[in-house]
Amino acid sequence: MTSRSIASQDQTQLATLIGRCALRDQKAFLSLYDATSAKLFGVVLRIVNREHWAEEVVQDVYLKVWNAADSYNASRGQPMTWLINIARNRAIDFLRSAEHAAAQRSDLLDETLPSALDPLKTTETGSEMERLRRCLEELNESQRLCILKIYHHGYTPTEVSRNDNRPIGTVKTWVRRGLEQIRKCMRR
Amino acid sequence: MKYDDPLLREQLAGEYALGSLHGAARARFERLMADDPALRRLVVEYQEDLTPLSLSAPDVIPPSRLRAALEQATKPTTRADTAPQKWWQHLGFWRSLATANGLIAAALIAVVAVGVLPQEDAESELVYVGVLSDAQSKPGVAVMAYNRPNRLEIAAKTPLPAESGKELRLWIRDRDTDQPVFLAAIPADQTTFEIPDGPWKLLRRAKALIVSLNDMSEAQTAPGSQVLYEGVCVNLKKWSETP
Repeated sequence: MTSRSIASQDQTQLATLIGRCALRDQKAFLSLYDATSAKLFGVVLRIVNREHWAEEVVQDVYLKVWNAADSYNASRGQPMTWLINIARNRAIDFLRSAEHAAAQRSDLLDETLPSALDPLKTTETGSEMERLRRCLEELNESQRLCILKIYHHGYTPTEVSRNDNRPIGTVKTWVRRGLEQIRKCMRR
Repeated sequence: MKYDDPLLREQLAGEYALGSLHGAARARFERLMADDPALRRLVVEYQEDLTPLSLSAPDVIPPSRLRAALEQATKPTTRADTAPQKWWQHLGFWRSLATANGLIAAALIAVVAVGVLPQEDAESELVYVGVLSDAQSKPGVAVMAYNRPNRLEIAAKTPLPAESGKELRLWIRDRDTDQPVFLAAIPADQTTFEIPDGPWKLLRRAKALIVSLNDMSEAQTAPGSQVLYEGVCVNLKKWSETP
């Protein structure tokens, strides 16, 4: 399934599948998995960087969805946002777990961000993406790349600081001001 | 730290959504969010802003063994659960829910026990079910809608509030506009009540149901600030007909 098909998928359909999961409908659960697993697996793999780890995390994510489906409601955002954030939080927790000592993690850090993950270097369309791309264009490059590395790879500001050889205070300021600017711009 | 400081709340909500809050700071923020619906809304806004980054990044197909493992892990506990038609009509199915969600299981077992759930030749059918959660995301209310005659049953884990001069109202959240639309006032001291054709047809448009507490004098235009419960509404009939 392509990212675009997920992006344009009827969110109501996903919400209904989540609702049916709350009623222990396994067929709905597997339909939800089929509709969203390529997206969530991609999100998790970018953070944990190893396929067998991603598999373990994504299994946990879907079991959590199965068991917590009754807690989903519209106030928690669009269904895909809810699913993506469960996946990202679980992947980040996995990274910070005992299994991943800082030394091991530092070996995995990429100095550069793949162009496929930088909206300014892709041709992805869609109204929300267009708006976000315009907002990201307003940040300077260091600030934008810092935010994208944290979002896509789950890096901490400390890791970005070490990796980019920048003072931690500078990185934290990039994050704080970058998020402020994105929020203001998205609400214009 | 003063968590009522709007600037600090904005900053923490943004960092949480981005994924840069870690360890004790993240755990503390999650505890804070659990009791603060406004803060949760702020986080969701940031998450919605950033989600296009995930949606636009390349997908990766997971190994097929992952699906098989999940299928095994979520296997229904009774053979009847797998019936493609009228799966919700099996008492064993609802009993299997008891460990996961005592509320809806209890509500539906109760419904079966008193014979409200249709048998093979019964006229009445359970058409919609909503499982509604409170502000802390804890399931607290099940709403069941039956046809012939069209009626709603409300099952609550704890008694719904009853205040002088106020009434409980049920709303749908429209699947196209995302806006709440008034469905019915919930009669005091009644768990089951009939509803006219108009509100019944409105249920078709529901992606979620909302229960609010309002002054009786308040116009039935929006739930207002006292939303007690909200949750997804499922059209069982429609899905039972899905191949």
